[in-house]
Amino acid sequence: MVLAPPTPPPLSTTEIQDAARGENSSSQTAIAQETQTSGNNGPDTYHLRFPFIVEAVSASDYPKVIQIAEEVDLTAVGNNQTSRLLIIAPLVLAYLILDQSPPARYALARLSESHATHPLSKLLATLLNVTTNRNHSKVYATAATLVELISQPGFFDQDLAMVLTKLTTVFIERFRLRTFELLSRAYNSLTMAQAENYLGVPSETILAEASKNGWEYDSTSQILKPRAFSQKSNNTTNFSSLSTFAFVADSVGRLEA
Amino acid sequence: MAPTDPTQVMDTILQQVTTADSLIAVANFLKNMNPKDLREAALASPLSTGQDPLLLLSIPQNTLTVLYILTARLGVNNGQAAPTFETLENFCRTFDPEQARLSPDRVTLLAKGIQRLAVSTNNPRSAILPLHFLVTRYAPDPSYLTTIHPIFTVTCLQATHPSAALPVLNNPITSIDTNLSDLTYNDNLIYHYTGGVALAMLKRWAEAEEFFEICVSAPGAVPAALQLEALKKLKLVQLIAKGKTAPLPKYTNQLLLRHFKATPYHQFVNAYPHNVEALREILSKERNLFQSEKNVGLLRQALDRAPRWALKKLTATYLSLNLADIGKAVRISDEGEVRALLLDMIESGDISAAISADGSVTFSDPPPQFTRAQVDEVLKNVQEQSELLDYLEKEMARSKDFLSKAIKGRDDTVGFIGADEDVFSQIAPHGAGIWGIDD
Repeated sequence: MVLAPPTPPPLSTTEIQDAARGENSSSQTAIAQETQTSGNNGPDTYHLRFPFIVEAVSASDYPKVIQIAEEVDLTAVGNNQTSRLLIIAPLVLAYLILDQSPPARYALARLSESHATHPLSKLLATLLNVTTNRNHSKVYATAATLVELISQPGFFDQDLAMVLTKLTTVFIERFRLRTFELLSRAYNSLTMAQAENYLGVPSETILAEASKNGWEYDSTSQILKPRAFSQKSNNTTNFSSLSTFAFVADSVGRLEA
Repeated sequence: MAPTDPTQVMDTILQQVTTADSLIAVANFLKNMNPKDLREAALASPLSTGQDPLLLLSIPQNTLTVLYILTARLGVNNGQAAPTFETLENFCRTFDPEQARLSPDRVTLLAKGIQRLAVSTNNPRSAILPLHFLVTRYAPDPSYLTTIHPIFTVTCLQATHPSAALPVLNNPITSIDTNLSDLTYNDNLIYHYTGGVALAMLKRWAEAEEFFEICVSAPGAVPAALQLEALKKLKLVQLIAKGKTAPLPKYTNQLLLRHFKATPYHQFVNAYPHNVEALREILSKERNLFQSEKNVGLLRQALDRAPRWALKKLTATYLSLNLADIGKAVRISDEGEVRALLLDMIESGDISAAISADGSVTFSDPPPQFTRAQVDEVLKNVQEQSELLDYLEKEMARSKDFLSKAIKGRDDTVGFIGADEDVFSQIAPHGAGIWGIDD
């Protein structure tokens, strides 16, 4: 029974980390031991639902990935199986693809202490932090490190590795595109070195993309001049002409009433 | 002689509920069974044959009975084991809301029992889905506040899962019916306070501000402690989102503001955003207090965002500046940091500016960005809100309390505080205006 005002939960990164550290910790040895024993118990809910996440990732339906992962996270029993990372890791990356950092942060915060210290979780947390802080060069570097980690032969689940590789690649593409659009809006002119730092690709790639989007480049001063990124305007709206007529007629009718 | 063995009593209950004439009869029978402790023990027991009565009952058809059994099992320590979350979720997905509304107190017990069970098993997450189904299916429509609402939001926070609360928080509360749910004053406060916390965790500042304001401005003879906590968070959220605080609604209890002014939060608000050293000093000096009230996160975010409000003020005065001058004005020495701040503000739409390679920054008015479909959507939304407001106004105008106060006010020739002058002015000499009759 709730009799008193609830204690507010931690809101900042530091508070979340402090709260997570307050739980009883178990070492990575425990994870390894658990990984060895989990095979004896057969597939758990996380394993059973993971193929649905694979399907959604294959269809590039990232909101669906989030929906499935969140539902599994709510219904599955048990916090300490490593298999929980089958759900949480894709969930975090899907949120990052959609540029929704806060729910990604809390998805990681819900991991037990033993999973929070797993190298995969730590890298995801780092990626989340540098993305939130828009530390562009570190975003690309951390993503590369993540891909390197999951590509190792000893990674604990090869199917998960494939899914995470795809999600990380998509995330970097989308992040780069969003950054490119931002540079088009925010800069009248910038140096090639700055562009390389923001976009994490070599100058040749930048020049190719820049010329496609109408940017100018002065090779002497190595200055790029962005052109305002015009979003492809969607002239088709959800309202057909008949619907618009109905809407206008209805509005007039209400005014007359 | 009446049986005293719980299993035999359960046999009787099952026989009665499955042969009753109507649902009202079932509700009355279950509610009025005495003694109460024997009733609860019986409901938590198997039948005399050892069979689980739930196996013989259909949730949609026997919602009331199943509700009583589940709440008894959640509340009684001996007898049947507590129901599993699968059972609870299944009930919450498939129960008949109309039947459940015949016993609102039992629904409240169920919600509390689910929450308590989850906390006792150290897994608050498992209560979220059952409570979600319960809160979304019980009331006739999502605008009604029920006792389940605060239990649900508190559970989401306990599980560190604020996004799970969003589908419920997205429906504003406009209806209260104490026949539907045995609400208390605190339910409204707790729901809007915890809802505000969940939204603040997700950095949905405008919505968080609205929820905290509803909590703060809830009318009452004396302010509640929770309202003061909500006021502190409200002010911080306003600083984060807009760089300044906004006046509270005029019906807010003035004592609250007086209490707030005695706190270090008031000093923080006054020093914001320009006096960054003073802000840091307050944060450092009162750290223990802020930590105990779990507001350090919000305070730090407000402090981190202080330079952007100083920068935004520059755009009102200058057409262009260079990075070094901007850095001096906002007291950031590193040009890279200034550049990053500008980029962040341009990305979030706080300012419209363009940076050049030579370090100069040109400010401009933000270009309008909306489509025809967005305008139509806004117009449709306004029409719906206007209709709802019209309906609520008429409902209030025909309520007994309002009519008696309005006539008393007119007789005393004293306007009452907070009166809606438009509604009051509709009252013609013989009250005809209320009925829409023109004189």
